[in-house]
Amino acid sequence: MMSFSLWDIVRNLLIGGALTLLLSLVAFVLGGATGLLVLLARIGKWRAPRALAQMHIELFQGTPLLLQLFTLFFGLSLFGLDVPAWLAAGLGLTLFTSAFLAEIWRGCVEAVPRGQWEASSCLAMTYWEQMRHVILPQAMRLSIAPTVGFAVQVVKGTAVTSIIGFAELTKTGSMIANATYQPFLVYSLVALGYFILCYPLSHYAQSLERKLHAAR
Amino acid sequence: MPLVSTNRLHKFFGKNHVLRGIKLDVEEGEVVTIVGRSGSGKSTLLRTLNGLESIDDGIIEVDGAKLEVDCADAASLRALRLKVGMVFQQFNLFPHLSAGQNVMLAPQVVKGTAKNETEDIARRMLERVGLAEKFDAFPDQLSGGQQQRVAIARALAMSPKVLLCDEITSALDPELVNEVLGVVRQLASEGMTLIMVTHEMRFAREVSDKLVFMHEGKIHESGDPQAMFARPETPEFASFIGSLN
Amino acid sequence: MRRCRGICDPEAPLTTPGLPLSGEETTDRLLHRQPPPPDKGGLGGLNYCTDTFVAIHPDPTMSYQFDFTFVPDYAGMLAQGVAYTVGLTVVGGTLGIGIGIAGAISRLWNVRPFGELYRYYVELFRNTPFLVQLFLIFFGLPSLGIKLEAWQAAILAMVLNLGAYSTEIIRAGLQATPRGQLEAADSLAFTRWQIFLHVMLRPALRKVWPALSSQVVITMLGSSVCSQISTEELTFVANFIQSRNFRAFETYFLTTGMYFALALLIRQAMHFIGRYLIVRRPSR
Repeated sequence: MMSFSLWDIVRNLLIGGALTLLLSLVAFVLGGATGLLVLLARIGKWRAPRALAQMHIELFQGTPLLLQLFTLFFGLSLFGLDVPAWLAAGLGLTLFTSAFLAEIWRGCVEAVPRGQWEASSCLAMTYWEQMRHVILPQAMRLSIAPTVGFAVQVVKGTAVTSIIGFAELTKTGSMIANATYQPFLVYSLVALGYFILCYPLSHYAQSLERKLHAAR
Repeated sequence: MPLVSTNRLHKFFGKNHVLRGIKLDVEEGEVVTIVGRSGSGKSTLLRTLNGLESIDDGIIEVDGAKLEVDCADAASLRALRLKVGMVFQQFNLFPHLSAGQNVMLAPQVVKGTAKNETEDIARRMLERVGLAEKFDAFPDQLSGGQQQRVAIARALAMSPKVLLCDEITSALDPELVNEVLGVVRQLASEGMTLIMVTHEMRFAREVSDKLVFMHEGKIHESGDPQAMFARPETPEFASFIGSLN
Repeated sequence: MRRCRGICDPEAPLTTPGLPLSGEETTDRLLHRQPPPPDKGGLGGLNYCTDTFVAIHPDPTMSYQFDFTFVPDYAGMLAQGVAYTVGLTVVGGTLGIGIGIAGAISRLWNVRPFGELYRYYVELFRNTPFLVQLFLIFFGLPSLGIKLEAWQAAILAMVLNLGAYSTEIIRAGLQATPRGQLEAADSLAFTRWQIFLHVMLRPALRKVWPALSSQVVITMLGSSVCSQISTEELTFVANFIQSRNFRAFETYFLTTGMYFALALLIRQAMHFIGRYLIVRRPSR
């Protein structure tokens, strides 16, 4: 049996942590972009895209991330695609993130007072002109705090991808725990790793929230 | 030919029949004040005039731009709104834009006017409402009265044919009311066509060419304000005046 | 399973060579289709399996035939999985919200030493993944001499996780009590406890109930990872079924749908609880 020093453990966890960070960034950026499209469809005037967007949101918010990953993983392989774990993980988390961000942002759009819609209507702006110049800039300001807050959920969500075999922080931790027979130490370090990634984000989101409330 | 004319205007909120066949004509340069108890439909009438409320029957025509029940499409709404400006009780300035940008936005976006030109317009309009030096101030740095004056400047920048004022002093502290009324008075004297809903009866009597008293969704009594206040024709209007003091 | 594979094995001499036939898929169909087909002579079973296969699946390289025929056979197991998940959620939800109320009180009034402890607890649990919390409890605690069964570990993790979130949610609700309400209650000579119960807690719960409901649903959905420590909840059952029927996509698709329905159901239940236990409006 190999013996592991604490440094061996930490070094391997750092590699896993880097993958967790990378996956979080990819999911957040791609999910944000997709989420914006879903949002525009959801608040747009056309019926079919609106219904589709709503379905997308409800489906991904109303089912477990793990099963989304499973279904995607095995669903894609039905098309004869050999899906590597990183692809299923990235794709699954992107879709998951897009649904939540779209819904968070929709809340922000709806939080813009009705008077803003009326005032811009009276100035003869079209729907998209109103959105672009009046509503979205204000919604964006409202959305920063909850968006940063949701980033924490994305980072934590990446842990689930360990189950389909993506070697991020949790998966690395599981493997090391099995090899070293020191599960308490290893999982504590894993938890610490997530905490280091998440806590600054939570804290920042909270301070943004307070600032926004104070400004009102 | 009147500048603004409505005919057979009907509006329902659910089962509530709010407007029951309104016929209203406003000549160019005329100042019309609509009064009535709350729930009489006066604000709703004002809001139908630029399509903020849809109508269930009738026709609205402003300077050739027509809005009918069957053809209230985006294009005719836009045509109407280009002729009709509006100022709100709650100002509704865009909080993310400076006073100047608030005024510039619509000419730039809707009319496609060049930026330097809209800036000229904005400066002139702000000067007209006495706020030339507040061009770069943001709404939350302005008093309520100042915000409302910026809102008037914003509406004027689209050079509307008629300006609608929906209780524009109701949300203001008493000491700020006069600066806004002063701007309106000046607009009236410059020949701007105005349709207002207001609780400032003294002001209404002073500047209006025509007073319209609404009661239960209908125009119950209308005419010269001095004459109406001196000799109310209907008991409802008499009781309305009585309740004011 | 063995018996069937023997008959339908495409390698077996009985099968016509060249037939597009995969052993496992045919096996499934034979295994799970009830009742068995009528015997058509000596090779009836085989005829059945090849006929059906050819009929509904002329070219397996071009299209995939979805097959949900396994469902009736596993209905009982699936029901047990659902019951397990619901059980975890009910226990986790009740205790979690209880912890949340206690935590919110301690944090708000800074009850020593709980206020401070709760702060660390909330930050720790909200900033680490549920899966890692679960592993730490199930795999890690035994080395400290605390050995838990899988279901105990699952419930503990769910309670602690939900407790952290509901502490923050309920605290926000309590903090939003208007000062005028407290002054009014004081002037009516309410005791401190009465004020807390009637003027602070009930209105606060009413205000944050939608947020709490969402959190309970999120916790229920998150419980699917408890399958990883062999808690026999719905996802565990799904894993088991797909390892038997090799119909992974169909199995997970179906299970996902069941979670979706469960989420709706729990949301409704929370709505109901909120209406009758917390708001208690007089019926009109």
